[in-house]
Amino acid sequence: MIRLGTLDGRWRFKTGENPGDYTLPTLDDSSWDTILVPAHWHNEGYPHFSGEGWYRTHFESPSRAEGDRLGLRFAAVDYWAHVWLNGIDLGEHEGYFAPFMFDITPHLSPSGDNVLVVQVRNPPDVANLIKGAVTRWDCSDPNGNPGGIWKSVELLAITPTEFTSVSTRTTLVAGDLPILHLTAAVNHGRETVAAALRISLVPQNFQGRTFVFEKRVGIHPGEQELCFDFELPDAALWWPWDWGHPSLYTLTLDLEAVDDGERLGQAVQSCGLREITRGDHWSVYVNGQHVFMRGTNYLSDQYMSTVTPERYRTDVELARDANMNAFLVFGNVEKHDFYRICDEHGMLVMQYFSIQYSYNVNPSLVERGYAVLEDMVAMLDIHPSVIAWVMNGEGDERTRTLLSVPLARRCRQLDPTRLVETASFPIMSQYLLNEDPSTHDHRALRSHYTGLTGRMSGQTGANSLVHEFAYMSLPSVDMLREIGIGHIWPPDWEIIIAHNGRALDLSQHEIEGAVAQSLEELVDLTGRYAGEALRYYIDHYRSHRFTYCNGLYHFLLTDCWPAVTWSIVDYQRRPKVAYAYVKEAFSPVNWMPDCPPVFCVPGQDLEIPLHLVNDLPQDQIGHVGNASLKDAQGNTLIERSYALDCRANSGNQVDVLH
Amino acid sequence: MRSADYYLEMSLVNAESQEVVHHTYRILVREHHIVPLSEPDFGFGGIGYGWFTHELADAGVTCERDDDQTFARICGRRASQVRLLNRIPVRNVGTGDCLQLTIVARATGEMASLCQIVAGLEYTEPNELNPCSDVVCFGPAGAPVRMSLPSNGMWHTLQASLCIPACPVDREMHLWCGFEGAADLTVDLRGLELMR
Repeated sequence: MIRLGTLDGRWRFKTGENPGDYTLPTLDDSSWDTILVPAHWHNEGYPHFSGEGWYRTHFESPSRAEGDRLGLRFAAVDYWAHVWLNGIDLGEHEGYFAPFMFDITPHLSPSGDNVLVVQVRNPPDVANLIKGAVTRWDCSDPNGNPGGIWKSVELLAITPTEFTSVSTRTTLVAGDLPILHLTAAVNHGRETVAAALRISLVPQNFQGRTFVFEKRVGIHPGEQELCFDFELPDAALWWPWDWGHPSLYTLTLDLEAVDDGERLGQAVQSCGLREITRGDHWSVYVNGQHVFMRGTNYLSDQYMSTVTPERYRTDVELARDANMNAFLVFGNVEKHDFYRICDEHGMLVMQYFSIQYSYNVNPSLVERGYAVLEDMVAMLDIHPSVIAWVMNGEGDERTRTLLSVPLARRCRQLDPTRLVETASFPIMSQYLLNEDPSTHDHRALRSHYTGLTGRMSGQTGANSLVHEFAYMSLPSVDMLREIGIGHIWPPDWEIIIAHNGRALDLSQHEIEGAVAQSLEELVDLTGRYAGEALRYYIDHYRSHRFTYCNGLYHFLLTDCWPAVTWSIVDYQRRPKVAYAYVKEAFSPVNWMPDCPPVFCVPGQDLEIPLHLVNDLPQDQIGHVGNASLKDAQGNTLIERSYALDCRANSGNQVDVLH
Repeated sequence: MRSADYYLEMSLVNAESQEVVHHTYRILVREHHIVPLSEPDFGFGGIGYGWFTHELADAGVTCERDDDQTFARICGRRASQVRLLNRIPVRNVGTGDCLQLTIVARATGEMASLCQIVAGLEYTEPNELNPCSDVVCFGPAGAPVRMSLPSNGMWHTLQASLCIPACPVDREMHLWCGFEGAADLTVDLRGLELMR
C-alpha cells in the first residue's frame, strides 16, 4: 500500500444524537464546532465528555496509478466508529487502539469532492467497553473516558497485489540454530502469475551477516498465504539487554513477476529472532535461558494521543536505568512506538489485554472480545519484546470463567508461540482454595500489598511470578503544585484523594515514628517508606529466585495523569523518592539481606540471612561483601566481610547474620 | 517505652571496577507493635475489586467502595459475621502472649440495630495435602473477642485483650477483624492498634 496523504486537520464536530441528516453529504455543517484530528476530544474542548460525537470533513479524490484502488485507513478511533462516505454506509469498528480500513474506490464522488462522516460513540457505561485501564482504574482520572479519532486518518493506494500481513516466528533447533518461520499473506487482484519472492534479513542495529533467500511461487487471484521455513546459521538472536544484544533485522519481502520482472509488491518490517518457552508455573525461558524478570507495571497516559515517541523513550530508559528488564503493560495497548523502543532496548513485555476488573459477561461481550483481541495480536505480533499475553487483570471468578478462559483459548490459536494466561489474581483471595488447578495456572500470577510491618503470607510453594506489589507515596512538591496543593500545609487531602491518593491521611502523623512538619518532609517520608518497602520485597523475592519466584513486577513506573499513586515516577517523568530504592534493589548483581527485621521488641534475637544474586549470564568472581549492624550513634555491633562468588544466573545464601 | 533504632549496612565491592554499592536498612526496636491504618497494606485498596471483594462475595455480602479510601467500609446484607480486615500479619507473638487491641470504628444503621466488632488471631498452617501449592490454611489462636459498638454513626474507640493460649511454634500470626449485626448496618473502621 502506498500512502497518498492524510485527512488530519480540523474537522467539523458536534455532540449528541443524529436528528436524521448528519450523514447526508448535503448537510450544511458550517455551524458545527471544529475539532483537531487526530486528538482525543478531551483535549479539544470537551473534557470528560462521554457519549456520541459526529465528525465531518471534505476531501478531494487523490490521483493514483491506474489499476490501484483507494483505501481509507483509520489508525485508531476510540471507541465505536461508524463511517459514511458520500452518504454511503461503509461499516463499523469497535475498539480504541487498532487500525481499520475501508476500500472506498466504488464510493468516490464523480465530482471529486467527497464528504466523510464518522460517528464516534464512547458511552459512559465503561463496564461494557473493552477499554481496560484507560477508563476503569484506580490510578487514572475517575472522570476521564478518552474518546474520539485520536490517530491519523490516511488515504492509501491499494495496488493490485498487496502483502496484507507478514508474520515471523522463531524456534531454536539443537539449542542454538534459529529457524525462521515466515508467513506472508498476499492479496492478488489479477490473474495467476509466476513470481519470485525475494526475502532478505539485513542487520539493523549491529554488525553481522545478511541473509537472502529466493523462492518461486504461483500467485493466484484472491487471498493466499505463503509459508516458508529458513535456517539461519550464525544469525544474531534478540536478547533482553542484561542477557545480550537485542539484535534486530530489517526483513524485506519483494515479489516480482518471473516473466517480465514487474515488481508486484513489497513488505518491509523489523524482525527479532528469539524463542519464548515456559517451564513450570511462570518460569520464562528466552532462547532457552531461564530469565528472571525485574519489571514494572506501565500505562503511559490516559490520553495516549499526547504521548510522543520521545516520551516513550524517556519511560523505557527510566525503567532500563533502574535495572529493569521487563514491562507489564496493564489493561491497555500502547502505541507501536512503545513496543518498537522496547524491541530496541531489549525490554521484555508482558502484555495484558484491555479487560480490567470484572464484567457482566454475556455471549455478545465474548464475541466482541474475540474481535478486539485479534486486533491486538495482529498489531503487536511483529515485536520480539512482547513475550506473553494475559487476558484479564483483577476480575472476579465469573469474568475469568466466562470471558478470560475463552479469550485465552482463542489467543493460543492466534499466537501459539507466546505465553498465554487467563488472568492474574491476588494471592490472598480465599476462593483460590476452591479452584480447579487443572484448568489453569493463573494463580501463579499473584500480587500483594503487604507493608513493612508484616511479612508476606502464603507465599511459599509455587514458583510464581509476582505481577503487582506497591506502596503509595506523594510525588514531588512541584507535581503537587501542578495538582494545585503544592503550597498547602497541612495537605489538602480531599484534592489528593481526588487524584487517586488514599490511605495517606494518617501518614502525616506517623510513619515509623517520624512526623512530617512540612509538605517537603511528607513527600520525603512517604517516598522513603515506599522505597524501603519496595526494596524489602524485591530483595526477598530475589533471594528466592527460581525457588518460589520467577520474577516480579512492582506497581508502577509512571502516573498516567497528574496523580498521587504507587508510582515511582510522576506524571511529568520526575523520579519520586522511591525510584532510587527500586533502582538499587534491581541491580542485576545484588548483595542483600532477606527480610531484615523492621520492627523488633527489646531482647529479641536477630537472624538475618544474607544473599548474593546474579541475574547475569556471566559468573561473578572475587567480589567483596560487607555487612555490619550499627546503633543510632554509629557504634558497630557486628561486622562481617565475605569473599563473594556466584555462578551465572544463580543466587545463594552466603551467611546468616546473628 | 524503650526504643532504639539500628542500622544494617551492606556494601558490595565489585572485583573488576572496585565500585562500591552501599545499602542501609533500618531496624526499629519498639516495645509495641502498631499497625496504623495509614499504611496502604491492609487490602483497603482492594475494596471494590481484588481479593477482598471475592471473599466478601463468598460471605454473601456486598461491599461499598469508600471513595476517599481512608477507612474500610462494609455494608451487611444479612445478619452474619463479616470481616473488615483479613489477616494482617502480626509479628513476634506466640503462646502465652496477651495483646491489647484498640479499634476506632463507627456503625450506622437502624436505632435498634446491634453491632459487635469481632476480632481474633489466626496462625498460618501450611497445606500438608498439597505442599507445592501456594495456598496456606489458617488456624485460630484463641477465642475471638467481641466489643459492642453503638450504631449511631459516631466514631468510637473500643478496647479488648487478645490472648494466645496455645499455638504451634514458628507460625506467622495474623489479626482479623469484622463485625456481627443486622442487615442494614454499615461499619467503618478507621484505626487499629495492637500493643504487647
